[in-house]
Amino acid sequence: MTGVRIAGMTWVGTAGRTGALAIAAAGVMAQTATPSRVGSTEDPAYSERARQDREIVYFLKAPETHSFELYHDVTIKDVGRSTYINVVRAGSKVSNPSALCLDTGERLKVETLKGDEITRAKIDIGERVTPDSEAAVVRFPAVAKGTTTRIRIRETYTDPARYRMEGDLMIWDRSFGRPQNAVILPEGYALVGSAFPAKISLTDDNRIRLDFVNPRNDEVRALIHARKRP
Amino acid sequence: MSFIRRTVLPVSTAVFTGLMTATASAQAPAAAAAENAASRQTQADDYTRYELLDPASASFRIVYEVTATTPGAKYFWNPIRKGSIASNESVTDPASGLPLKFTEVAGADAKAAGLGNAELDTRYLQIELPQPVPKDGEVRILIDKTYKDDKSYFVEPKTGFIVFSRSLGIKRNSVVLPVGYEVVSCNYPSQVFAEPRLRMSFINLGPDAVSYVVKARRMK
Repeated sequence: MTGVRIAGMTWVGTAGRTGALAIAAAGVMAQTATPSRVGSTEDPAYSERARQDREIVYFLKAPETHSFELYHDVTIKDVGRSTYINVVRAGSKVSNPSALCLDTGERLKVETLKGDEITRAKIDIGERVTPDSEAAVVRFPAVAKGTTTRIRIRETYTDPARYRMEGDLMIWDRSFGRPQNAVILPEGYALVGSAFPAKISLTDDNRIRLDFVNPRNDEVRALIHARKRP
Repeated sequence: MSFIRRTVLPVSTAVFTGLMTATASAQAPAAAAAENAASRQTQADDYTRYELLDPASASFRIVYEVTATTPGAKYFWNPIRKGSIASNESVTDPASGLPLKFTEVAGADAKAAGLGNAELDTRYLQIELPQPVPKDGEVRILIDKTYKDDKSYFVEPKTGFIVFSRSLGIKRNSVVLPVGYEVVSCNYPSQVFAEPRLRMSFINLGPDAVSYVVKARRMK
């Protein structure tokens, strides 16, 4: 399990949005917040945002492909934990998943499970498993007492609804759950709009990068517009 | 229910006021403290739009919306930043759409006219309000001016990028790029709009000024 701990609870990871609240138990279990937690100190709204360590960077491919590569980093803190589950949001398809341990540089085993495979593996993804459900499962040596493990997951997503062209306008319209998120525009594209405040910079390969920080425990809609340079 | 006046003080004024208040509470009689309080300028709802002009001019237009909130005030003073050369000033009353009279005055003149914490080495636009600020009311002002300041707006020799680099004490700001330029760097989280000139807009949530830096390059 991953993310910040709240009285024994953590977040199941998703690429680009906050996942379901999960119990950091030995197994791979997850559950949604129960009414008794709402408004209590165990409510996820009380999670210390500044201490959360989930970061994600999106590298947009040509918009016509509706595809983007991404990597996200998380620190695994739960003793005994040996898996990280990345639930693919509905409407997205994932390919080429890979992972490494940032502490050692070692590659980690990753498998993508779909539908019944998730159920047979007894993985709780925090929501009802359907034939279209998809999750990437990263396996790593169990976290020992007194230690943590920092991992990086790389994936390629295809999301025709949220990453597309409308005429000559590139549109990226996804929500972010993590505190720190970055989007790198496709090569040759100029930024013409960002609904959520972003820091902007130029990458070494001449691409526009937007960095978003959301200090609140909620999701933000990162609506970005860009146009191909003449 | 009592009316609570929204008040925002410019940083320099706030610091000065803080010192003045501390001094007053420690030493000055209550009457003097009250007089000091009366001579302070209060304001609210500040929003500034910087429109970058031809980079070769090192000039930018400033459109500044501000609300005078000092009860009974007949003037509003807008400091002219040191190092900037002001021109093309005009002031409008948004409530009526009519122009307001103003003059550029020295700090001593501003102080003599009622701005108790005027800085003597600063020049001010002294604006005549259309009516004294009513109790439990306010007077909105729109100031339009052009600054020439080659330390704030210049072309970066190494990259050819235009750079707007300025400490912005107002809490709500936007910067409009010249026609045909794309943003390549912005050091403070900002929204981006194409209208069709690109405009960066931000709210400063912190207590200090933002050292805002925007870089842009011409689209080919």
